This record gives sequence, C-alpha cells and structure tokens, in this order.
Amino acid sequence: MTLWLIFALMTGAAVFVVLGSLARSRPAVAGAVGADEAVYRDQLEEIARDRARGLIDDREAEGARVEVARRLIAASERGGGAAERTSTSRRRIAAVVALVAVPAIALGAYARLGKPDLPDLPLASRQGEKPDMQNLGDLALRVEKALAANPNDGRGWSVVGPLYMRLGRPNEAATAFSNAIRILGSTPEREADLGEALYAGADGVVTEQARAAFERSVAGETPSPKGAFYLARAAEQDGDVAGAVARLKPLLTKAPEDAPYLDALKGEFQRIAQVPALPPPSPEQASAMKTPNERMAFVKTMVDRLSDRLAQEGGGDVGEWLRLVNARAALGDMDKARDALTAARQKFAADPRATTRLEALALGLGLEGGGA
Amino acid sequence: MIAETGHYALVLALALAILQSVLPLWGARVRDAALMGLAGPLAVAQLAFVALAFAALTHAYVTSDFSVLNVVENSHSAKPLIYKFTGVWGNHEGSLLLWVLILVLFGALVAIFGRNLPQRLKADVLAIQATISVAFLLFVLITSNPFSRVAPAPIEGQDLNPLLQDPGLAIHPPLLYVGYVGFSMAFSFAVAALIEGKIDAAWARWVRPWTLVAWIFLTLGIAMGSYWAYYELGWGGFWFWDPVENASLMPWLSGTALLHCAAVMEKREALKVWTILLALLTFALSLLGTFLVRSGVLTSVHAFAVDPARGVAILIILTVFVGGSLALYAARAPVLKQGGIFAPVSREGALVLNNIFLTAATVAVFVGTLYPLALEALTGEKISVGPPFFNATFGPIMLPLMLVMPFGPLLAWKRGDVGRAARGLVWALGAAIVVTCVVAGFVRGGPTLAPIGIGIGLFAICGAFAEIVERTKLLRAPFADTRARARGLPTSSWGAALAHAGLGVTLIGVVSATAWSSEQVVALKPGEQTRVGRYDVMFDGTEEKRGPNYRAVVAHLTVIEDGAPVAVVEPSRRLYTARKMDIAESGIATFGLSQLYAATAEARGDGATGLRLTYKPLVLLIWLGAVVMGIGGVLSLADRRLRVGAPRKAPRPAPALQPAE
Repeated sequence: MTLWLIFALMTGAAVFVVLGSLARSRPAVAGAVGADEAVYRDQLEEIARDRARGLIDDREAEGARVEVARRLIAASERGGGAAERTSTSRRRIAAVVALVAVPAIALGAYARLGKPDLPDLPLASRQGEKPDMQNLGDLALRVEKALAANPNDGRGWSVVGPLYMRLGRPNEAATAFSNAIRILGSTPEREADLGEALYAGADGVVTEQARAAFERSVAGETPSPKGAFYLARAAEQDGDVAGAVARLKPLLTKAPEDAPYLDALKGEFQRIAQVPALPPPSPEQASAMKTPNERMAFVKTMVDRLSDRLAQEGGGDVGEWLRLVNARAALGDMDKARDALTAARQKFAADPRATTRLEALALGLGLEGGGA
Repeated sequence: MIAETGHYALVLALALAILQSVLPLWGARVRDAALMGLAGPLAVAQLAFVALAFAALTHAYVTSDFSVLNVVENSHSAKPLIYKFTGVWGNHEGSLLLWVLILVLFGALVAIFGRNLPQRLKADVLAIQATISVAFLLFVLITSNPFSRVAPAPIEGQDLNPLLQDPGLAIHPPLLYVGYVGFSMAFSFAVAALIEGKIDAAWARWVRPWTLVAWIFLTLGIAMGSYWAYYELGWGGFWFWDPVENASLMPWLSGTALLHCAAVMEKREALKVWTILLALLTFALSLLGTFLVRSGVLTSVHAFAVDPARGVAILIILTVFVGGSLALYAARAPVLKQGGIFAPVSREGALVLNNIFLTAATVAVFVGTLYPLALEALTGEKISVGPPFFNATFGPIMLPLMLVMPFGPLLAWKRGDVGRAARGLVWALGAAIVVTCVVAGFVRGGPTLAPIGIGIGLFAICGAFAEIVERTKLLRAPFADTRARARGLPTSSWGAALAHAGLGVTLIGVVSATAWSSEQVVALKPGEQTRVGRYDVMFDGTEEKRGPNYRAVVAHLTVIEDGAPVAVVEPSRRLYTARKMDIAESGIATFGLSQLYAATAEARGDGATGLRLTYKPLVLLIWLGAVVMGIGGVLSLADRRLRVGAPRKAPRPAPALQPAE
C-alpha cells in the first residue's frame, strides 16, 4: 500500500511540473532576434575591453568592430519576426496531455515491467532465513561461510566436498576432501572420494595424484569398491584391458546382491567390451516398422541373419561376435547368447585381447560370474 | 520497495521525456512561449527521476539485495564496498543507466544555465535531447532492465568480473560516458539549428563550451582506460588498436576537429555548415561506439552480456538518429547562410587543414575497425587488422598534423603570413633538431626513426608555446613587461598551448616506451635474479594472501640498481572464488617517468615462477600528456569571455600582438 502511495506522489509531482510551468509562463522578453543582438552587443563591449587591456591594437580592434557591427545590423534587419505568443487553448491541450499521458505511460509500462509485490531483500535482513535445502549452491555457500570462520572443521569439509561434486566443481571438491583427510584422517572412502574429484577435475583422466589416492583407498583391510573401480579405469586408460577386467572381476563376484554400485559395475564391463553399435536401419526399413512388435521382429531377423552368417562362413571379426552376444542378451535369449559366447571364445582363443573383451561382456551381461 | 520505486521513477522519466520531446518542439513551431517554457522544468524533473532510479539501484548493490537480478549477476556480499558502488555501472544494464543519467544531466544543465539562450533554440535543443533519452530509456526498460527481480532470491551473488574490481572502474566509465554523451549536446544544437534553418550567434557561443566539456572528459576517459588496461590486463601494453578502443578514439578525433571548427564559428561565423556536419558525425561515432561495445559484435571485457536483441535495438537507434539527422542535414544545410570569408593562409585556413587531417585520421580508424567486422558479417571470413594497418595509416596522418600544428595559432584570422609564423617557430625547430641528434647519438638500439619521433614531439611542445612567446615578447622585452603581458593573456591562450603541448608529450611517451622498452620473460626460483633494462630484479619468493573475495599468490621482487635495492615490486595472481577467475595483478615500480612492469604467470610445478618483466622508459608521459591536454581544455573552458576573431587589416612589417584567442 505504501508503495502505491509513493507511486501516486511521484506521478503527482511529475504532472505538477508540467502544470506548474504552464501556469507560471508569461511571454518571454527576449525573442530569437533580440538574443542575437544581445550577443553582438556583448561582443562589441568585449572588443573595447580587449583593446583597453592591450590585447589587440587599434587597427585590429577597428577591423573586428566593423565585422561585428555588420552582423549586428544584419541581425536587426532580420528582426520584426512575430513575437512569441501564448494561447489558452494550447495550454489546455498541454495540461490535458500531461494529466493523461504521464500516468498512462508510467503506470502502463510499470504494469508490464514492475513487480510491485516483491519486497526489498537486503542481505542484512535475511540472516534468519531458512536455507533452501533443494538449492545445492546455497547449501555449499552456507558451509563455506562456516568454514571460512573455522577452517579446521573437518566435518564441514567432508560435507561440502560431495556438494561441490554435484555442482560440477571438482577442483574445489578435491581441496575439500584433502582437507577432510588432513583433519579427520584417512579412510578408504575419503581417499576414494578425493581420487574421484581429482579424476573429474582432470576431465576424466586418472592422474598420478588420483591414482595414489585410489591406491591408498584399496590398501587397507576394507578396500573401497570405488577405489578399485577407478584403478580399473586407470589400467584401461594405460591400455591394459586385461588388468582392468582383473581388477573389476573380484568386485563383481564379492558384491552383495543389493550393492548399489552393481549396475555401474556391469555398465563398466560392457563399456570395456566395446561392443560396436548395430548399423541403423535404412529409411525404407525404418518406414516398414511402425509398431514395437514389427520393430522387434525386424531386429530378430537381423540378429538371426548375423548369427547364420557368422556360423556359416566361420568368419567375422570379434566386433561382430560381440554384437551378436550382446543382441541375443538384449532380446532376452540368454541361452543363445551363451552359445554364441562359447563359439566366439573357441574361435578367438588365441587372441588375448578378444578373449578379454568377450569375458568383460559376459560379466557385464551377467552371463557368468556372480551378482546376477 | 526501494527497488520498485527506482523502477517506477525510471518509467516516469520515460513519460516526461516523451512529453519533453513533443511539447516544446510544437511550441517552437507555433511560437508558443508556454509550451516552449515546458522544456526546462521537464528536463530538470527528468534528471530528478533518473537520479532517483540510479540511487535505488545503488542502494540495492550496497545492501546486497539479491532479489534484483542485476545485483545477483554482478555483485557478491563479500565484495569490498567501493566495488559495490562502482559495480552499479560495471555491467551492461547499470552502465546504460549511467549513460542515461549523464544524458539527462546534460539536458538539465542546458535548462538551468541556458537562460540567455534564445527561447526557441533552447526549446528545440531540449526536445532533441529528450528524443535521445526516450530512445535510450526505452532501450534500458525493454532490453536491459536493471530492475528485473528474481524470486526466490538466491542467498549469494555471482560477483563482479574480477578484471573490473579495480579503482579504475570508479573513474574510467563515468569519464568516458560524460565524453560520449556530452557530444549529444553538440548534436542536439546542430539538429535544432537545422530545424530552425538558421544558426544564431548564441548557437556558436554555446556549442563550443559543451563540446569542450565532452572533449576534456573523453580525453581523460580514454587515457584512464589506456592506463587501466596497461596495469590490469597484464600485457604491459598501453594501446592495442582493439575495436573497443578505436570506438572511443573515433569520436575523440572528430570531436577534436569539431572543437577547432566551433572556435572558427564562434569568432568568425565561418564554416557553419561543416561545423554542423561534424557535430552530427561526432555524436554518430559516439553512438557507433556504444553499438560496437554493447551489442556483442565484439568480444571484450566491455561486452558484458551478449544478446542479439540488444544489438538490433542499438542498431535501430543508430540508424534513426544518424540517418534522420543526415537526411535533415541534406535537406536543410543549403538554407544556412555561410558566414565570414577568409584567405587560404589564415587561422581559419589552418583550422580547415587541421580538420582535413583529423577527418582523414578518423576515416583510417573507422575503416580499420569496421572493415574486418563487415567482412566477417558478409563473407564469414575472419581477418585481423592489427597495429600494422594503423601504424601505416594513422601514424602518417597524425605526424604531419603535429608538424603543422604549431603554425596554426601563429597565423592571424582572415589572412595570415606563413613566413612570419615560421620565424616564430625557428627556435622550436632548432631545439627539436638538437634533441633528435642527441638522442640518435647517445641512445642505443631501437628503430632508426624513433629519435625523429622524439624530435617531432618536442617541436610540437615548443611550438605550442610559440604563440605565447610571441605575444609576451619573451626575451625581447624587459622581463617585467613580459610578465605583465603574460598576465594579460586570456587563459584560453594558455589552454590552447597546453592542449597542443600535451599531444607532443604523449607522442614522446609513445615513441620512447615503444622503441626502447626491454622485456624479459623468465621462470625464476626464489633467490634467482635477472636483468631488465638497467635494473637487476631479484625474485625473493612467493607468499599466499587472502583478500575479501579472493585468494592471492604474491611474488616478491626486489629491483636493484648498481647493487643497491631501489624498489620492491609485488605482482600477484588472484583467484576470485565466486567466479573461479584467475587474474594477474601487475606490480609496477616507477622511476621518474619510467616504469618497471612485472606480471606473474601461473605457478609451475618445479618451484619456479614465470615472470614477465618490462622496463618502459618515459611511459608515464603517454598519460601525463593526456592530463596536460585536459588541463588545457579546462583553462580554455574557464575563459568565459566572448570571443571575437579580430582580422588584421593589412600585412605590416612590425610584429604585433595577436588577437584574443
């Protein structure tokens, strides 16, 4: 309410500027011509003053005087133009325009742009405000402030670290985790978190620092699955795919049935297996499959055709075999998938790289190993 | 409530500006004193409301009101107080609000101090000024509203760009804006004269001081910007021919031309039509500068937020005002009566020459700035027009200008005598040649032409005072006589001399700092040292420090001359936590007019710190020259006398005093 009162007063003041000026105005004394003449007369006086101060000599003063006098005469000859008038009707129009246009424009524009119901929120008045628990940024800020006051609060660091990770600020997360380790001591979980933050900060490369953290996280009696997971990824990045699989395999076999990381683990195996994607259907084929059933049938025929081809020719590279196993499993046909896997293993028994990829896929699909 | 009050005040200012752009103009056509009389009070009221809006935004910044979007995006609760004030214009929306504030301030100043202006001229001028503010108020309210709110309000802001967290932000933009916007006054006067179809004597009397004010501020603003870039951006350069810099240089060049032209107009009523055109073009170049900087056409520290809608809006404003005023010029300029005649060799003639040079220089900068942009827009091809282009075009235009500059003030109005002027400059030329030879003989290294550059600069400085020497009969008359004459000289004579000398000072600084600077890029471990110019620099180590909203790694360097430590330099790198920006803060040691400039690179793994050390002899002269120019402008402005250019009747042998400047 106060706000609208202020607006009304401001609008009134604006309108009054116009009305007041209209009421006060009286015909001006100096018209345009008069003003010109005044300037020239001043100039003549100025020449006389300059002469008196010795800035110009007589002849210069005379020359200047002649020129200005000529302008003066020209100006007074131009004179006789209509003097300024004023008319009541025009004044009324102006008054009405001011009365109508000023509030209309101001309120019209403000109605579109303004937020009259939003109060000011200076920070000083918001100390007691409850933080928005949904807003991770706000939460992180609160913890940061507490930490600025007490930088040796290890719990604070271990709370803010995961927040930073979720906010996509891994470098700060790494600082937070290493502070937590420094103050609270090393645990497999903290070391693994630190390594993960370093890994994310390096855009998905296991750096030496990160590897050291992961090594510490698996060194103790209760090795961190996360640490082992990332060490496998480090091995893979070094080109040691077999080593990566060897690292991951015990995780899968030892994992409890309901381990939360099980899906991530299987996904990792499938990623390592590097199954080539199926070729996309051609436009004609795509237009032929409208319903899910038609699509399913189409995929089945394609997979069968692939299987026939691989069986008959006895050829095909490991990619095609991986694709076949993967497709069989995806279609829910686990037995045929296992058959294909066995056939592939026999065929590529001499190729350790292919064997590793096949094993990884088998583990990832749950065709063997535990946890399925 | 305060934020919304500010918002409403801005909207009210728009309403008043619309009235001000219509009613007085109508009044001037029908010669209605009451309607024309509205212009003044409306202009003052407009200033009051825009100032209220500005104060409200400032309040939101100072109290960290994060319900205002602009504050969220550009402030932080831990930001030092001074940057809460300056941060108001350290962003797109706020800087435009400052632009509008200065615009309406100029309008109000005309309303208050323009009592002796002919009423119709005043009404026209204020109405034109109001149309500019309508355009910009609409632009602010529609595309760049600083009072946009956010709900729910975040608890913390995103902080101000760390590059802008510097005292320079308090000075550079307001100075520059007063310069840019000040030219709008010349523009409004020019358009008013075109509408009326006649140039009053008062017109000429008024345009020059306004142009002069704008010019002084623009000069200082550009110099401040250059110095800021020099110490903040960490490259140690003072001018980069960056389009944003050129955008401010163009109105300066044409504004300088306008200033000289307006002097001719005021004294001799000559060059009227050309003065009007220059007034239109100068403001057009100011608008172009605003467009280049604010549209996002360019990426730079000045382009805060890139939004195509804003670029289009400014382009529309630019087209309407430039196109409209030039069309009006084409239609009405022939109506204007040409005034005083003059011989080619005369003060007027010299000023025409000055205008030709300055206009050519403006065109050179214009082409170099806009051609790459136009080419990219049309063909998508990116080319870079860097310093080589400008050195090859701008330099060859400005150097001759500086050579002939001292002749101008020595020529008489209407008809002059080159021989006499040259005699007055013989000593200046002698001094310049001697110094050139000395520099060429004793200073090692650097380009061959550099000593000549120093000589030209010195000639410009000495020549600038030739008029004063002449008129005070220095060394030719008894000292008491000279002193009396010096006291009798109008301050504007001193002003002109200082402004011209300032240009020479800047030139010497540019030549010296470019030709004889020495640079070292090294990685040092604590305890190691290196040599730059005539100084040894010892790296003592680094230290971590915490600022209010940043962490810093400060490098300690000791500057040693002849075995004795003479200065300590502490360049640093600051990591601003809110924006995650890593900023180099240079460290500078000043020795007289020369500086040793140090910047650190990011820390390296091996314990060494990367350092860039530059010794720039006489570098301070660059900005000192601009300050001298500014002081000259202020002196000239302080001279409130009427100006009459007294012509000399016939050439006479005896040396005589020059007419009043």
